[in-house]
Amino acid sequence: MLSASSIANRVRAGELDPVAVATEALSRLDAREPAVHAYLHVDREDVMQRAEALAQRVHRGDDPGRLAGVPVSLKDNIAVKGQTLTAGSRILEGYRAPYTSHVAERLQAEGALLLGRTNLDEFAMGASTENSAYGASRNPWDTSRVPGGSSGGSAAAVGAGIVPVALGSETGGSIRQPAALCGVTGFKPTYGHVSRYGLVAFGSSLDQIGPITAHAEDAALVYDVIAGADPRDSTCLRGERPSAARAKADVEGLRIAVPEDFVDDSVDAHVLMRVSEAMAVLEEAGAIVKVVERGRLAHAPLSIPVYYLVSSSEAAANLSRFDGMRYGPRHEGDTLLDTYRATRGELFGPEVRRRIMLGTFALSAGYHDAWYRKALQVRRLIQREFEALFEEFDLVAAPTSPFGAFSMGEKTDDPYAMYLCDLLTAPACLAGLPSVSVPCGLSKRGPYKGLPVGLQLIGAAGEDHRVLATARAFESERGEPERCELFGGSAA
Amino acid sequence: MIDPDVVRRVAGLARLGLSPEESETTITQLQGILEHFEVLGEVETEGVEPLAHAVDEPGTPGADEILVFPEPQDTLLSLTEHAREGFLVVQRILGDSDAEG
Repeated sequence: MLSASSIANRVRAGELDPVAVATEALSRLDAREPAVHAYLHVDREDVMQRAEALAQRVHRGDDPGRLAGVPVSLKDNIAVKGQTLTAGSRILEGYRAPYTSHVAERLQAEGALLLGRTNLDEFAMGASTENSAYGASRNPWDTSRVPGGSSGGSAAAVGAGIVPVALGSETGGSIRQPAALCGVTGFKPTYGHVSRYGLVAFGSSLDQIGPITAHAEDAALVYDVIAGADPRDSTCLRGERPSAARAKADVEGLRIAVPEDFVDDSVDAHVLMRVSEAMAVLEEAGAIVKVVERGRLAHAPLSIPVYYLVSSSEAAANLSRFDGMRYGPRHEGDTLLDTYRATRGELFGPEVRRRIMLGTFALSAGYHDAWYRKALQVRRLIQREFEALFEEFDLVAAPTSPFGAFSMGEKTDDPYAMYLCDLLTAPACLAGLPSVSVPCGLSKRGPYKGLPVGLQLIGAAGEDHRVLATARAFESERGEPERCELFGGSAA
Repeated sequence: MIDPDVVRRVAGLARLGLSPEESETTITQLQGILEHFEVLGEVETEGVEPLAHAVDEPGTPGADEILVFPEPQDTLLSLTEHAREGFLVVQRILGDSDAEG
């Protein structure tokens, strides 16, 4: 499968017909989708019509855009007018978005072909897609295992080589963790760098949209397209963002911290080995890598309670709009209140109900100060510690996920075990920092033998271009990542 | 910490209908999750300002003008099964003794 930048360059040069690109992507989807169940909906006619329109644009001599002809799949919580927007939930079954999100507008304006809606954990709450009301997706490396989540459909679609690019959304790790588990690149921008207009809200102080790509350089290309100010999201920052695609991919003299606080007993030894090797690659290329003693990010290991209290509280408020009145199906009760209770009780899945309960509890009178306010105070401490570290270092490196892709059903009976999947990704989300997961090899032994491992790089706020340039440099130093059989490559 | 009364009260606030079995499970699960979270209570946070939003910089303000939603009313009403004659049909709320203020 060609990279997004190769497709766009060739389409712009008139060497590649976007109709052929779309046809090939749809045929890969037909062949591979039964194995991974990455998609919830595919509008073939729409894709082909847009590819034909694009071909005419090229024929007329108009510039078809930076993503000309690139097939891009969108997580099914990002609105595209007229398309499904289930957020993986029964409560939005049959709902079609009445308007288009900022990110989809930007992609279409640059000539991308929006190909299908990808699966996710219900309302993006989960780390495996097993909370989707429409069935779990599967990992393209081993279909008895999860692809991660919540953007698991997007990561499985890219990891299976169906599309070179998909968009995911992340609140606590939902772009980077599935990217790591599927052997592809995933990037979460600085909070406020990408407009959330048209994204189904989960935790509004944390949610960001970002790219999942087969090639690290494409993450920079897509970030450049979707990032930027948008008055329709009041939390979207003003001004220009430096280009990530044009940033120098050079790690010479780059100061990288490897904090001991990110490593505990839960982190798999073989995952750590791959990450250590990755640090050697960066060092070889001129980076200054330093292990930072325990205590500098002392509060980062508390990110799980902080993240789950904050995000669930925000979710409890955001999801109050789903009451059967304005969207989707309604389950009638005897009174209006009974109808609310029946609709929400029966159409939200168990994990969403659990988080609404947790968040409502944490915000309720008598408990607010001990739980919600306390979590926000510790969140401040986490952010301060990162700020202090970034006065000495340019980047922080760690594993993305404590472990590789786990088996389907392995963690579904224990909500807290599932929450621990976010252990290493939640800190950057709480502090609003940009972070990438880039593939750094396969686990050689142990329970995740033969499965991909992700290297996580975190930058200071606003340093998205530097984080992405380093991911690009790392991939060019190390070589193209190992690919699974389904992708069409050979696993090393 | 979590008992049947707390679950009933929180489910009421959240407008979530829970079956008796689910209420039982919720007690165990929430209790278990919160026990893991109790570690936060040990952190010294005296005088620490809560951080509700990671970014202090101002966002992008919208222009101070009236925007008309581009889609006609019919399009929005077509998204629900409960539209009639240009209105959204909901249950009556007056005289409903169970409704909370």
